[in-house]
Amino acid sequence: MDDARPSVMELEHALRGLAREIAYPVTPSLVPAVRSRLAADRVQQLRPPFPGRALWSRRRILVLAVLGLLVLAGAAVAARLAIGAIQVRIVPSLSTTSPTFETRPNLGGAIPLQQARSAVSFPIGLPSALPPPDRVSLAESYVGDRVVLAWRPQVGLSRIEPTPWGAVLMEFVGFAGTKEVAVKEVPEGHVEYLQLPSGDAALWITGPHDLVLRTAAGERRFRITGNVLIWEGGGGVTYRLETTLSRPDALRLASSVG
Amino acid sequence: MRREDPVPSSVEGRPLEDAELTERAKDGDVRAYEELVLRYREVACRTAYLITGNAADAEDAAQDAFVKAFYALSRFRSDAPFRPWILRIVSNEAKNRRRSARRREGLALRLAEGRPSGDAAPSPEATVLSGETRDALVAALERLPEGDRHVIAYRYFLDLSEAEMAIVMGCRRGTVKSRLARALARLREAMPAGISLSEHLEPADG
Repeated sequence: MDDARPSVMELEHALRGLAREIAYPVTPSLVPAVRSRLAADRVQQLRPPFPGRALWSRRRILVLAVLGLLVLAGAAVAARLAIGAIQVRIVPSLSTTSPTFETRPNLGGAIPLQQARSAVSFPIGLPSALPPPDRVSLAESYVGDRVVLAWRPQVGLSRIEPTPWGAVLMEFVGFAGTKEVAVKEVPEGHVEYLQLPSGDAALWITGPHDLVLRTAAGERRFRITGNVLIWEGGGGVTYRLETTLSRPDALRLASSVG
Repeated sequence: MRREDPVPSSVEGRPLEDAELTERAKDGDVRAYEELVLRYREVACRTAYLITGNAADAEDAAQDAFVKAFYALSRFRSDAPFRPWILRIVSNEAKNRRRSARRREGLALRLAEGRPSGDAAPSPEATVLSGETRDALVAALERLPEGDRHVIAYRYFLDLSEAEMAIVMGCRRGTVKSRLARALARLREAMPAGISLSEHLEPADG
């Protein structure tokens, strides 16, 4: 009988009591291990010596760049915005004489979601507003793991021409100081810097723009047609969501990723 | 416990604030960052242990989190609280390890034999919560979905505030309240009928 169960207040008391009885393992020192790993990174020059200032400076540049764009609207200025491992370069207009554009980036071989979870070094976030992804794949990124989730077009999610998908969500690790995984070249007026309800910084890019990937084989260029929302979540994970959704709908979808 | 070659953690005897240490760490002062590791390693390891249920995985997750956090300091506002920020990274690392290991066991609740952990003086609750009641509570916790167990662990086992939980969980404070309320409701449902905690509990204030 329900009434015979403890009240919530009783449960809270009991849980606080239980907390004091948990036998945690002895806390490891951690400092020597962390110290040696940071030292090893410095020796191998894998990381910048001033990690905080490196991006802090970039953030100041970002703020200045946005202000500059506001002041110099209409001028053919180039600015750089960055979220996580993605850098956005503002260009006056997309080049029509660009070298050959490749077809859409290969998403890689499809694998089960569980296998992807085992393979990447971060928790894969799924949008609760969508059913499970129709396709999951892994791709090697410049700085680490990258997972690509794709959903077929469905009600409320129209096709991103010329792809077969209605939504593509990339998740990857991109820490401060690492070289950007990708550069997006976006025409003026097609990128906005905004914040998600969670407070995370985000970039909203509308319409056609170019994606330039730095790979071991050199620079590769792709023309992207969907609207793209890029944001950084916890744990250094960068998210890139491509859809044909409006900004409010894309923000709602992004906010449901968890 | 030995403190490994402690960094200069004070100025004229005054312990440095987290904000000062993070500012120094952002300038590449690894020793300042080591002081932050020393300050928060215990709660970090406990957080990871409650999620992974395994001491070795917890240590690895905490260590990885501190290394990654160092390189992510640029995204950390020095006037923000460091503890929930590092715990969010720890929590993500621990969840990843738990998933990678495909372990499905519940929250790590290995209970001490006859002695409470932490402070020497047990609370009134700790002295009376035992036997059938304690076992029923642990069993009910084990039956909860992972997310519910985590939110309960953050609040009651790690004693995080709702504001801290919002940062750790990456959501708004209102969401924390609702998720906690939902978890407690499910825990209540998972408790066997007929178990009354009231007869075992004394008022918290005495």
